[in-house]
Amino acid sequence: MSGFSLPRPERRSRGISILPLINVVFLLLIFIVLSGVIASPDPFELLPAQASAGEEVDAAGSDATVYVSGSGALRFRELSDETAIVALITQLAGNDAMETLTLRADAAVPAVRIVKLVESLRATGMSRIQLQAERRP
Amino acid sequence: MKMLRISPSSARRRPPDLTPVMDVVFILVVFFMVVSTFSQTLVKPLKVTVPGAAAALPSPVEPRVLVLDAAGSALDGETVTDLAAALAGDTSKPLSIVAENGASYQALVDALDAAQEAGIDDVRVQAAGEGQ
Repeated sequence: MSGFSLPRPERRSRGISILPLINVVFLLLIFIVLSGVIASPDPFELLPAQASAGEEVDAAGSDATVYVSGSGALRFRELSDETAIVALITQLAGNDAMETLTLRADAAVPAVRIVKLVESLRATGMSRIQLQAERRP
Repeated sequence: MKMLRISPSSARRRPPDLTPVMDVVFILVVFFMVVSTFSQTLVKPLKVTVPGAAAALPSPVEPRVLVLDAAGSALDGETVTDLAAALAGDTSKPLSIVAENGASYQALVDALDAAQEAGIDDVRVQAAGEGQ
């Protein structure tokens, strides 16, 4: 009984084909571009409150957002003084330049601070004020 | 004079080198992974009332009062642990959320969450020490 003989490698083995890799990476790229939203950075480090119900919105921040940091500091556009912020929002509400105001606050801010802030913002004549939160994972 | 000979086309061409493309695409992938966010953002619209108007118009139904403080929450004076279940008991009455000193914004959002899940439409929020 004759034994099997393995064929000699005649050709040099080809390099590993990277085409499937490119396909996967392109798919990954398209997935990330489609499903992710480019985040607009908060003006300061803040850990937003979490909620499980609410209207879903685009994560991109707008210039109609008032930020409240954990220490209670405010930021609206370039302003950080509460009196100046309320004055600017009053002006914007009076011109009908802005209809919706969003409040993005750190979860650790005292609730009283937020309630009082919302009350002073209501007095500006803004027609819609909303609280922003992240969806609870 | 010698003529240049063009090499015969029968010679097999090498496929184009895709390594630079891969480099660029990898950089793009890393860029989008770093700058993208996948967390979903929610908003809770607040009812806007003219200050003083709510006080001027007496509510036809006495609201239930939910007090938030550092220790937790109390509905009509009784401490509650499962807020959503407690609020689901009677959704016909309006809910008045009173934030005491020491309550965090997260507690307020949780209370608004529970009220929304219970289906209470009329929710008012006020800070402690203010008129009803």
